[in-house]
Amino acid sequence: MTIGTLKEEAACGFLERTGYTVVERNFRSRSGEIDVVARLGDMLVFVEVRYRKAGSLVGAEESVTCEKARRIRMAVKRYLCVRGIADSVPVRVDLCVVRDQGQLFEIVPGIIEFG
Amino acid sequence: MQVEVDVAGGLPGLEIVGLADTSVREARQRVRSALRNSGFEVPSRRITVNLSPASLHKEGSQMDLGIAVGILVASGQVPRSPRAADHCFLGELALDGSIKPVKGALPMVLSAQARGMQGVVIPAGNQAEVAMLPTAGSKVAVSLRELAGFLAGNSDLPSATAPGPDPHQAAPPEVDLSEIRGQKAAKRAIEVACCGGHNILLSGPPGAGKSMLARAVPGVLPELTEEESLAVTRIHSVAGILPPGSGLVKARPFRAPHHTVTASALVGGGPNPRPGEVTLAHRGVLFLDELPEFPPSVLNALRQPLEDGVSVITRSRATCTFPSRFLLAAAMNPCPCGYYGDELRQCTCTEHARKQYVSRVSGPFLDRMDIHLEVSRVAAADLTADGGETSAAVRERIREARMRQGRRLAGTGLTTNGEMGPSQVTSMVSLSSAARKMALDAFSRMKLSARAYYRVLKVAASVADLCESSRVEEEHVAEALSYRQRLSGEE
Repeated sequence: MTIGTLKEEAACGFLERTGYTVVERNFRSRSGEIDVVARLGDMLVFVEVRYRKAGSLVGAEESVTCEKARRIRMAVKRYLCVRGIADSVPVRVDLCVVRDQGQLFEIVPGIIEFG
Repeated sequence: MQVEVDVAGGLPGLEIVGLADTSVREARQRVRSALRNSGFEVPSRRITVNLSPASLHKEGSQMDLGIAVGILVASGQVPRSPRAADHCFLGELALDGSIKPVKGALPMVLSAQARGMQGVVIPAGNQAEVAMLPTAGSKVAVSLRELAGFLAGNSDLPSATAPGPDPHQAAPPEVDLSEIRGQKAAKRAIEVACCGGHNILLSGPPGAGKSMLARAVPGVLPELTEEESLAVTRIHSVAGILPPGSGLVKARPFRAPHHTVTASALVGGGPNPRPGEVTLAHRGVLFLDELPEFPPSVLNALRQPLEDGVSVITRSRATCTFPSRFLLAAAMNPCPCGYYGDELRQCTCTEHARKQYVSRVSGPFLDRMDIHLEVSRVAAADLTADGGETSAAVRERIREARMRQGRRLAGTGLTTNGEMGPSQVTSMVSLSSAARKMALDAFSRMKLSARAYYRVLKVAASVADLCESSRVEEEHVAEALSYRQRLSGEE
């Protein structure tokens, strides 16, 4: 297993411990990709995972650029369409920050707006 | 207008619909920030805000508060209570959650009360204009957080309170009659004009004091009644010209548009009809200085407001009727250089130039001016002499004369002689036979139009009222006729 996958495992573990139920990982479409799709209560949450070394100068939120946000938006819409998710299901995009190689985790809910 | 908020599943976002213009759509950002900074959250849901009725164009920022309350209730952050349902919410939101004043608060509160709403929550900055209303029910909220506490039933909001002595209202009118030196005839003419509500045209050389005389008129007119004051305050509130924190308007409005004004700005217009100068001058004075400089098309637009007392603006979206009952005062020079007929300085205009200048004001327009007055230059002796009566003294005389008018006009719903129609003049103005003879003579000799004839009689009635005479006598008609010199100098 690569280091990337280890970190992803750590992130998923944390999400599950926090109350999310991981439904799908690494959803890829032509216009974008999503790291983790999970359920939180009745809400469908799309989680973007970021890794930060200790003392990193770039904030995790800042690393979600306009372009990245656009790709995530497109991917979310694609997912809802392809998986046939009903219109009534609430949707959210969260950011999961993994710091110090799994020592510290942080979730920032609702980082992307659609309209 | 109703704000509906729906929180649903689907992609998160906040959207405002209902033909909202830019300022309303920007409420998205204001409401978001205000909610967050007040300790609430904007749920990551699909939030749809509908401003109904959906076919009416919305503009302005006063819906911010209603939208924020709607979101709070719909997302459960504030309990659904009768307080939320029975109240109207008015206010613009600052980004920190404080509630800022809006335009038109007074008419909106009146409208809410008419619809049976239990109360209206308004910004602190608007409480002065609504505090005077007889029915209580206006509450003041300073911030979104305070309002949320009220809606949750945890606390109460203070009622709107009247301000202390208003610095703006305490100011005396612009010009007092006693400040004007000499000009006895002009002052008399103004007294007659204010007594009966007659339109007045002042003509004379530069510096004679025409503008000053016009500016003295609002101070000579009787004070606004409570009803009139409310009407004027409503108009000024909507137009956004109420000084912040001031209560009901007490002084008669005085509007003096520049001669470059457009017809639309003068009588009202724009895609979403706005009141014009004639409406802002409602119950007050509209002063047109340099009358011949106004384009004929603009002066033409004044016909309807002058005749009907309202300004009707028709657009494809809506038709609005704005009140516009005002006293028209106008000033002009008798010729391009200004000195025609002056005692001391020579006029340098050709006859042709002068005639052309004067003809810029159309006959029909002149016909509607009841009083034409030549204001000559101030004599040296008058300049240093005492100013004469104050506006307040003249106002007293007018008050008495108006009571006489009231008796004459009882049952018609009119308040001044100037408003009478021809049939009312015939039935309600009693002339002595000498007076009638003089008037009819003048009709043929001066080649008056029928409209002009009745206007002369109306002015004569006002003169008679001032002279405390119940019947219009010859000398009253004579004075009225003296106010109808044609500017071309034929008489």
